[in-house]
Order: sequence, then structure tokens, then C-alpha cells
Amino acid sequence: MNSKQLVLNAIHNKETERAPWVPFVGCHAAALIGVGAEEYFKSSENIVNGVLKAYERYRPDGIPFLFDLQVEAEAMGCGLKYAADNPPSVVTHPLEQGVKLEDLKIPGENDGRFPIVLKAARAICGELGDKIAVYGLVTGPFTLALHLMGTDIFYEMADDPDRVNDVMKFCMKVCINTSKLYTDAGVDVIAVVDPMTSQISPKNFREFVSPYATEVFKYIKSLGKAGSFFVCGNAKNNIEEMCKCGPDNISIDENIPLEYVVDICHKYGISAGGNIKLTVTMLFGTPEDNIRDAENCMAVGGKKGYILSPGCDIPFAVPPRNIEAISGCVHGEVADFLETEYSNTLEGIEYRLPDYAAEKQVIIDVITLDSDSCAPCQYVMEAVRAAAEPFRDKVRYMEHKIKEKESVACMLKLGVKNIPTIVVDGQIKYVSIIPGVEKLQECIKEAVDAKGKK
Amino acid sequence: MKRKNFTIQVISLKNPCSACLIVGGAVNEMLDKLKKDHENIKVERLVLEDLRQVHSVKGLEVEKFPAVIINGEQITAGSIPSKKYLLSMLAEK
Repeated sequence: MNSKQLVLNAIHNKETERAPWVPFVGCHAAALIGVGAEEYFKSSENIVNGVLKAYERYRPDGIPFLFDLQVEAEAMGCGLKYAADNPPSVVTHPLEQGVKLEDLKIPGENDGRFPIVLKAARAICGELGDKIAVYGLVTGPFTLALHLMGTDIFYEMADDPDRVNDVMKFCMKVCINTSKLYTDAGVDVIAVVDPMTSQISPKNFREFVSPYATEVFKYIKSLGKAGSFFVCGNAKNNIEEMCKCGPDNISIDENIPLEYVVDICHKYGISAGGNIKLTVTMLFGTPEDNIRDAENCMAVGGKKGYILSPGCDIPFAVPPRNIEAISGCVHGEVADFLETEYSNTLEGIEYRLPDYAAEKQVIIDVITLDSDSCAPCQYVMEAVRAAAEPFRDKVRYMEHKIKEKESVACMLKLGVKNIPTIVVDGQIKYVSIIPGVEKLQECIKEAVDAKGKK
Repeated sequence: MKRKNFTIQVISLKNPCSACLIVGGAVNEMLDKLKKDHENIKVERLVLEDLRQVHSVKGLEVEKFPAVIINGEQITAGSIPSKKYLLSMLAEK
């Protein structure tokens, strides 16, 4: 199964052989090709080169062709302030400045930066569209309404709800039109990114967002595309309302526990995505931190209806090695990644494997990230402890935490590729699987019996 | 009677995600509007380059950004402050 199908299966809540990996590469792509964010967002050539570079380095199963929540707003007259290493910010709001709603036009393919963005979309879909799922990100109606009205929207929800509903209805039409433009450009998934819904209550969400978001997702379905509803911030109270809007997938950031979202989404037959921590892990963490976070997310998300992704667009300055570490983890190549990562620092680090055949005890080597902080690693260690206990002094087990260089050397010597892995008397037995205690005991007994015969 | 003075600090991280950028923009806009009508507020903006700098910010308890601290007390973490709350606070003597 190719990457694209993996994403589409997961997004439609089907079982997959592994969780697909969709890094939300936005302005970070500018850093990959050595240009500033403003230069990036204003050039289709830079956008294409950036995304292709991200595809090459990060081996995603899906990728957005652009992550810029200001395209529609700019095309309707919002003033933007560009930055060297961030997406642009909206700084003026036409409806606040006296422009009438009826004078605003739904932006088309020739408005604002749409010519640049659509040219990039078509090129990226042409180049990558048969291999991976390409996402088109549409600014959600509430965030778009905030761009048009400014912060007064929060007060007018109480003071003038009819006006807010009129603006939301207009924004819904913009979302629908943009979805059509991106679909025509060749994308596979339309993600409706509406982070500002995290700032409102479920009651306000039901009144001012649900009717419009529901229509947008109905339209996306009518185009035969998958629809993802994307929120950032603490939107825990709104997740159920989001599900009721009819998306195929809900994607969240670290502010909401992934297990909570997975439970609610699956109740509605919807897939979930997220939520590697952007700042603590991706920006400021080490490659091992990123492997840990990815492992933990995948342990929670499982292999049905789950997509591994960061919580939002990857910051400009995230070290590429951190993202490559996640890719290595997803593709079962942690050892290869660590070997390259530590090629200099492993020099001089020796790990002598025991002579397993000569040892009286069966030796179980468990290669983990760290069972104190990595959930799958913890479950594997618990299984090994429980399985080994009845064998008493016939068996000894050791955890090798790869955050320690000696453990990396051990991992490489044993030929272990991924974590967590259980090795019994030098033979790799379980890779990225948490075996049942009984099954593991059978495996250990076999090894104990084999030793007994010698 | 003199009105109480308020120092409002908006703390954000360098390289925020798109959502934090939009929330930060909204927070700054709201405070700029309030500042125009209230002489008793001063707004300071701090951008942290590194998470380790968090400990140097007095009153910052919840590490979610943008964070708003008023007179040394954190009132929001990653969300837009309520205008009603701000106005009632500013009316304090």
C-alpha cells in the first residue's frame, strides 16, 4: 500500500499497517531551502522547492502544499505584516475599518496571492500526487471571520449575533470556494483549519460555527474529497461539536489529550490526528525526545483511524534532525537514524555482548527509549517483568535505554532496528510489539529448555 | 481618587505556530485598543527565545503562550483575555 492510500485509509477510519505520518510543514520549508518566510510565501517556486525538500528529507505519507491561514483574508483586503521566520499576521480588518460586508467579494483564483498559491499547488500535486496525500489547508470560517472583523467578533457574538451570523455565512462561502480551487488543483484532503474556535464556548460554537462548518464539510464530501477539521489551542470542550459537523478527521495540538480526542472521534466513526508537541519537543527537544513523543502518540492513536502529525505548523527553526528522527521512528528505522546521528560520538564506545550460548541464564535484552517516559517502552518492560518472574534465576533481563550511547552501541551490535524490541539470547523476537505475557513466557521457556539440553 | 496603574505583559515564544500567532495578534490588538482609552495601563511585550527564560518572568506559572500577566499575576495562558474582566479590573481604584 502506498503512502497516499495509507493516509486515505486512516482518514476514513480504517485499519492501517502503521500510522501514517503527516508533518505540517509550512514556513519551516523556507528554512529548508534557505529563504526567509516572506520570500517563501510570496513565491510559487519557493513553495514548490520547499515542499519537495521536505518530502525528500522527512519521507511523509502526506503533506500540506502550504500552511498559511492568511491567504483568503489578504485577498479580501486584510493588511498583512510579514516576518522573517513566521507566517504573516493579519493587522487590519476591513469590516472594522468601515468596509461593508456586502462589498466584500469571495476571492477567486486571480485574487491576492491565489495565483501564486494555486500554481504551487498544481506543481506539487503533479510531482507528488501519485505518491503521497497532498493536503489543501483552508482557513476555517470562524478564524476567517476574526480576520475580517477583528477582536470585536468576540463581543458581537453577544451584542449583535445576527451580524456575526451574516459574516459567518459569508466566510462559509469563502471556505467552500477555496475548497473547490484546491480540489481543482489536485489535492486529496481538504483541511479546514479553524484555531480560533478554541477561544469560544460550546454554546457559541453551536450557534456561530456548527451550521457553517457542517455545510463546508458537506461540500467537501460532495467533491469526493476527505475533510479534516483542524483546531489548535484548548478546544477540549468543543471536540464533540466539531465531530457533529461531519468531518472525516479531527486534528489537534498538545493542548488536548490525544486519548480523549481518539475516544470521542471513534465514537462518531471519525479519525483523529496529532499531536506531537511543537515547542517543547520539536523546537527545543532532542531527536530522542521526538522519537519518544512520536512513540507515545502512536501508542495512543493505534493503527485504526489515526494519523501521526505535529500539533500545528512546524516552526521555522525546528532542527531538521528532530523531524528526521520522527520519520525514522515511523518507518521502523530508529537504529539507522541513531547510527547516523551518533556516528562521531559513538567512536570509542564499546559494548560487549555476552556469550549467550555460554551463559547459564537466558538473557533478555530489551531495547527501549526509556520506560520511564515512553509509554510503549513501559508496557514492554512490564510484560517482560511479568513473563520472566516465574523463571526466577534461570532468566535475567536488562533494559537498554537508547538515550545512553552504550545502549545505542548495544542496539547496533544486536542488529535491532526499532524500539521497543525484545531480544532473547541474542535473537530478535518482538519488534515494536507488546507481546502478551503468556506468549512471551512460551518464548522464554523455549530458550530455557534449549539451554537445559546443552 | 486616583486610578490604580496596571502593567500588562504579553509573553510569547519566538517562532510560534500559526494559531499562537493569530491569538497573539488578537491579544495585542485588544490591549492596544484598551490602552487608547485608559491612561492607567502600560503594555510590555516579551518574546522568549528559549523555554529556559520562562523562569525569569515573574508571575508566569502556566507555560502556554501567549501568556498575559497583569501586575505580576498571570491571567491567561494561550487564550484571549475577556474584555469584561479587563474593564472591571481597570476600573479598580
